[in-house]
Amino acid sequence: MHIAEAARQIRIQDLKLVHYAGAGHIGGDLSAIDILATLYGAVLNVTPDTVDDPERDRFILSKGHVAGILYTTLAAFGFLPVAELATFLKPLSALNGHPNRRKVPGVEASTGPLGHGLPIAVGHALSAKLDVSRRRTYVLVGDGELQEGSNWEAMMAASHHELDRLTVIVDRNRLQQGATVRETNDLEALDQKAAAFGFAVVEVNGHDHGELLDVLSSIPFRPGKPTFVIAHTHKGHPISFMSNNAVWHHRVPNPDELQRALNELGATA
Amino acid sequence: MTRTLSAAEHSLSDRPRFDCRNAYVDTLVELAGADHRIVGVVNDSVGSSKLEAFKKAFPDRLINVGIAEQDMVGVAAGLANGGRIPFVSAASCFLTARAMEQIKADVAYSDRNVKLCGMSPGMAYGELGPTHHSIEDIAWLRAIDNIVVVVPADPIETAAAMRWAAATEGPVFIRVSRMSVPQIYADDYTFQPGKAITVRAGDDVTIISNGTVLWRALVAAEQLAADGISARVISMPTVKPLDVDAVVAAAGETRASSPPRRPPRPARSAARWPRPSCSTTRYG
Repeated sequence: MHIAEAARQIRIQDLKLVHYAGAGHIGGDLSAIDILATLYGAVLNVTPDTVDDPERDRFILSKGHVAGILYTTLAAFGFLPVAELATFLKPLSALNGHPNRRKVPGVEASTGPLGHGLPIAVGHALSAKLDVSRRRTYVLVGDGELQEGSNWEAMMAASHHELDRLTVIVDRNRLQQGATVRETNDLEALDQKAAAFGFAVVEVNGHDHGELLDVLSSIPFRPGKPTFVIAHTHKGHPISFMSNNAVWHHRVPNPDELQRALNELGATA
Repeated sequence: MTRTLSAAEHSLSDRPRFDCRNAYVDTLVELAGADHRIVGVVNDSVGSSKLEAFKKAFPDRLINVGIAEQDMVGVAAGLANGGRIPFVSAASCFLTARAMEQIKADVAYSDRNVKLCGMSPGMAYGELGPTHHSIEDIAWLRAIDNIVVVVPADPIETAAAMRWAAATEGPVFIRVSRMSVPQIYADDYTFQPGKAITVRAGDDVTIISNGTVLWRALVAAEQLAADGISARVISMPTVKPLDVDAVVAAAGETRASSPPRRPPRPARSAARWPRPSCSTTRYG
């Protein structure tokens, strides 16, 4: 399936998921989906049959609150039954508000508290280096999440150990829970900070599958250095009334809003 | 079978004493030699964890993340994701307090095969002051679901607990003392998780202890014996899961758990025993 079409279908599924569950993080889901669709559709060396293969590539979703988009992506690529999505957030469901690696096949780390995924990714990349393995490690962090100091501890270690098969992808949507990152605790100059921490830095349009594919499939971007991809995105993309609007961090679309969003994606409820 | 040293062998106050960290590193080198998956993860704590011998034997397998405890525990979880068995060695005060959320989420909740080794716990860093004391670690760790909490009492038990932890899948916290203790257990001691050990028989009262305090509990029992009080000493190396059966049995079998058979003695030590079924020594 073409990545763009996969991303469109995952968006449709995710909008319904959040609407029917009555909760979720639709804004952050929609900003990250093109990154996930590109990774699972064309980059990661992992399939539903190889989720336990030691040599699989790892993808760690550090911004665990967008679990909905991880579940819909995993379902789209066959890691879990699409029908299971209907249990999202329900009692006893495996599909909790934050991903649980013990319950959901394909989930590499139980995340939710922010600032955890990057250290775990560094640990996995170290294990790959010890094994002299070519398996790769990708971790998706939110930009607001980079306010957690543990990320910077891990980034120091990543460059110190020259983990050039580790890729940090920042979902740079510039919004956090209730305000812009700039208003809250500004990250700029993020590219210079990451470069100063020893990373090869590259900026892409985080909604352009071609740009994402080019960068994410050409790791290491610079030999001997971990890669830091600043993926410029919009929360709520591409829904006109959701895009770049902090209200949609965790607002749930009502039936009318769902219909309008689906119409924009060329789908019906 | 677990054998403890006899009373004659004990005379604990006069016996040579050992820093359990030496047993820790000797055992880690031994385990790592037999299993390539084992790695050390430290926060600039090679010296304070006495890991020089490990570093010399396995330089590539000692991962020093620098002074960064959250990263250290997250990295350990990631190493476990990659099939390694990390032994995280760091001062217990920093390992547990600084990285508590990583221990909870990345290790315990995630069920990662990570061994957390809290060095120099309790009041071991006494002169360094309360910032470096680790008197909360056991209480914190035992409140977290899905992690075994072990507090060894001597070098033999430290080594035995490590061998068990290395051979067992899942999260484990082991507290490793730097305060010198005499050898309590025989060389062939085998660690049994979740099992209490009666290290001294007694009928009147029960003392339950572990860690660096266990040998002092045995000395106290000797002193009580001189006062005519027969004290049972139970070692409880596994704080979680707790051997509840052993506690209940002791409560039923020793005198402090039921109305006295004879009037309380005025003797100083006897008068200290409280009404509850058993007295638990303080950790560290």
